[in-house]
Amino acid sequence: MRDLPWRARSLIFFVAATAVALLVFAMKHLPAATLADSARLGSGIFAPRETLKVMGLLVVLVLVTKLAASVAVFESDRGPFGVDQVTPVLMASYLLVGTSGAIIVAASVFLVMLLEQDLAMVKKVFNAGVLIISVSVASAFYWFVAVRTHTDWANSSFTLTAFGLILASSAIFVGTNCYFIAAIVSSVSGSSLLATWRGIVRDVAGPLVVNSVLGLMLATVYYHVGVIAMILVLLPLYVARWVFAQIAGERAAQEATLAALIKAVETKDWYTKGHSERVAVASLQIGGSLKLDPDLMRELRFAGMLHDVGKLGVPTGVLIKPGRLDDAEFDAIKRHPVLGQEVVRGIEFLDEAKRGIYYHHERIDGRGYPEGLKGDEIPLFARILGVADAFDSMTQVRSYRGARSVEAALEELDAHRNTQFDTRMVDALMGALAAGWEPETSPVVVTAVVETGVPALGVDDDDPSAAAALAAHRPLRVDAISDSASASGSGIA
Amino acid sequence: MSNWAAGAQSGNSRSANRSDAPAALLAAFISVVAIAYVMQHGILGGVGIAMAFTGFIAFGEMFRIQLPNERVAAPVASAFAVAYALVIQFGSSSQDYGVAQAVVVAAAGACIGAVSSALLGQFRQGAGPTLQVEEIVRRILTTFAVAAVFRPVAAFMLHRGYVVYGQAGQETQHGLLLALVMLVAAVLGTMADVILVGLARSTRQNAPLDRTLKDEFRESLPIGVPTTSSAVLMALAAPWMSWWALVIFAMPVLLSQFAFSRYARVVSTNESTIRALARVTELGGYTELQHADRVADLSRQVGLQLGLSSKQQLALERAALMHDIGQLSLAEAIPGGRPAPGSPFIPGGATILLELEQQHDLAKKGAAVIRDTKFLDDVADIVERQVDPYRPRGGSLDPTLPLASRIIKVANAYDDLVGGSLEADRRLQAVARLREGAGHEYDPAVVDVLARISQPRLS
Repeated sequence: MRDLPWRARSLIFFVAATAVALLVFAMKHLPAATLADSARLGSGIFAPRETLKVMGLLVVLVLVTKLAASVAVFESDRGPFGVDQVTPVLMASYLLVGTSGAIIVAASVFLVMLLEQDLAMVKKVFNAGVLIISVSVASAFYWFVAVRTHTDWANSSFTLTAFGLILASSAIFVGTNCYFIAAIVSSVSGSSLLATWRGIVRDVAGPLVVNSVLGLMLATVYYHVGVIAMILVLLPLYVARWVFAQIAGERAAQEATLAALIKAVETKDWYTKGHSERVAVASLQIGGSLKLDPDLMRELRFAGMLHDVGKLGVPTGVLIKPGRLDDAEFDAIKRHPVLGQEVVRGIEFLDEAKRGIYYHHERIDGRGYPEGLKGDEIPLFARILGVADAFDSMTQVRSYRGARSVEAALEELDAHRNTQFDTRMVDALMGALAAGWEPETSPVVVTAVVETGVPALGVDDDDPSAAAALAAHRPLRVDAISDSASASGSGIA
Repeated sequence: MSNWAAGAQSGNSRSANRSDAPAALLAAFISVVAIAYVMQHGILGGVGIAMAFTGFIAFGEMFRIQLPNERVAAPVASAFAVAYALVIQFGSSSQDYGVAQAVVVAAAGACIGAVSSALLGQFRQGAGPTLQVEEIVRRILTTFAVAAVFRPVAAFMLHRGYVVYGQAGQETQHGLLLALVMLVAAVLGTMADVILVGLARSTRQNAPLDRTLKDEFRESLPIGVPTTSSAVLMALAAPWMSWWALVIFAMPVLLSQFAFSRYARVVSTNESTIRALARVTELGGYTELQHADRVADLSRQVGLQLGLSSKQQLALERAALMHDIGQLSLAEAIPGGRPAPGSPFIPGGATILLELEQQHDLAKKGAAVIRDTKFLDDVADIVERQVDPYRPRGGSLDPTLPLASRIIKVANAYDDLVGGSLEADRRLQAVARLREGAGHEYDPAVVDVLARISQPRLS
């Protein structure tokens, strides 16, 4: 508390004081809830005695749902949106027992928060206070409009007005909540309040609709049927949560399988150990600078991991051959993108990755392989992989040279802009480095590299200097296969 | 021998077709009677409402989800079909129709949906229309079961005045009781559906009925819960909210539709990833082309017939695909050879050509690779023990040896011996060789099933 800025401190104080005031107000008004009150504040739809009973039930429901884990309903790449089951219960509260009742139900959340170990007391007080304020504002709005427009959700004439009003009050609930969260975040971090608020609201827009519908469902089924129906509303959410957990598990299993298998493949060839993983990381850094969307990023990781898998089909003798390679041997090496694409062909939904693997040795000037595409003809992923691949290759030890420093590698990339590499990708990589990314490099960094022009020992064609030599051996351009669609289906001709 | 076995095989496939027939006939019979009844008595409770439900069912039928292990679900369609069987009041209009009308609506919706999706499929892919009769049968029989349980009871309760739907704002009497009756009927209907699907699957895949049913129940639960509860909630809320009840209470089922289709997609990507990556041993020249695919396919069929659960089945398939991963550790591929003088030549990569100790070593290395994933421990265990003998000579059965490992051992040996060959002789020789080892090297039950599957079919 002491180390918080004064703005944050005064905000917390304001929230806590307002919440306490609201709570006192609710306590005072609750037992004497009369028809006059109902018109003024909205006391819910039950007789006073009944209201107390329902409130008791709602408090129990809050405690139960809060104690159970929160339900992840929407999965996004910023992590699953937790749709806290407490929010729908609070919405149902003000529909059922009015403003005063809902304030007291909201206050009960604080009791459960007290049990949470890993949260500072200040935060607990602040969160509970924000919840109370948000509920009061939303409920006051709902009942203010409802009483004047004679809207009654529990009535047989459930209308668009009722649904719209519930949706609007729910938006106010979430909006208020987000406002205070954004205010405290920006007062601590010094970021702009409006931007923070907008970011948070964007994340919760989806759950907002779900929450209001859920709240309405809970209130309706409770009013007409009873507690048992509330269970019917909440059960599918637990199932959805379970399914999303399964999805996350399958995804993790897929990535882990890939990583393990690549590791096994890399044991074949000592100098590429960890290369796939590092290229994947570097590609993601480039993709991050380019602000690719999350689905593409996941695919890019795949492409990075698998880009060299085809090397398994190149005779080991050629891969580690000391001395000059003859044309036939170069051709064998040049087949690895094609072979790699053969392996991944059967994998569903990875079209960008497949193209990336197939074309990752193309050069901007058209002297690459397997097809000699030029400039923008080269698919996005291939251009990213090309840079990431070369960067990793240069910063690692090779049998015919030591590892270069990051600076030296960048110079090399810079020198080959627009001949071998796409300028945008080189800039993106530099941007990622400038933003603080620390690539994993070989511990042995030699500053003076003996450039031989044509690498002699165990040529690594990912290395720009070696790749230049390889490019001189122009591959046969298969003109029939020019568009990427036919390429991804053709495989080894 | 081969004639007899071949006869049994074709007999099986014929009986598999026939097994669906009683259900289809029953559904057709029920529908015809229901249509006749409705034609005579007219549509009660409003044609518009009946047509709307038909439309929703048809719509839901067009968005089926293909779940792992050949399971198909149409949660939206089944939620609306069950809801229509349960509605007794819709806004101010009383829905006092009988079982027949509920069945007619479900049948019409299912047929329209199936036909439109078949036409759409033809339009999109240019493929011949495939009409999924089984789905229509399921929808009709399930709805019939729910309506047959619920509607007479509800009619009785209404008649005796147990349930009274009041005017605006008035409370319902015995709403809870009604809710419970609805829930029981819906659950029974869903269970009937599960049994139906289980029966069909058990005959089609030649799997033991009890285990298939148990597995079917377990696998259907996650999708059955949201479907059933949404249907009941729609029916319960319809008196007050009328159309809004359908809109609002369809949300949970839409959510689960979304979640499950995503799940199915991820599982299928994962399958194809493992299938593709398992081929790195082929690329490296360690194993024969398609070997892993064939072993996985054989193992899958054997597993189904031995009644493995869906979860075990998934692990078995993955293990079978990756069973040779350990060979990546070899500097040189296993050379081809003949396991015994005079037997056919076996191409390189066949582990049965190796000494047992070497086989164990490769299995262990493969398992280590898989265990490295940290997510597939069950698969790793299977791969690790794929070489272990069923019952070592003079030894006793090892209860910890997974059935999946025993299956892969047999399937792998069979494929090593036969490969992609289609020669009947070679298959018979391979089976004969496996039979020699049955009881000590190979699990006799697995060998039996494999022998049945592998028999060349005589037409």
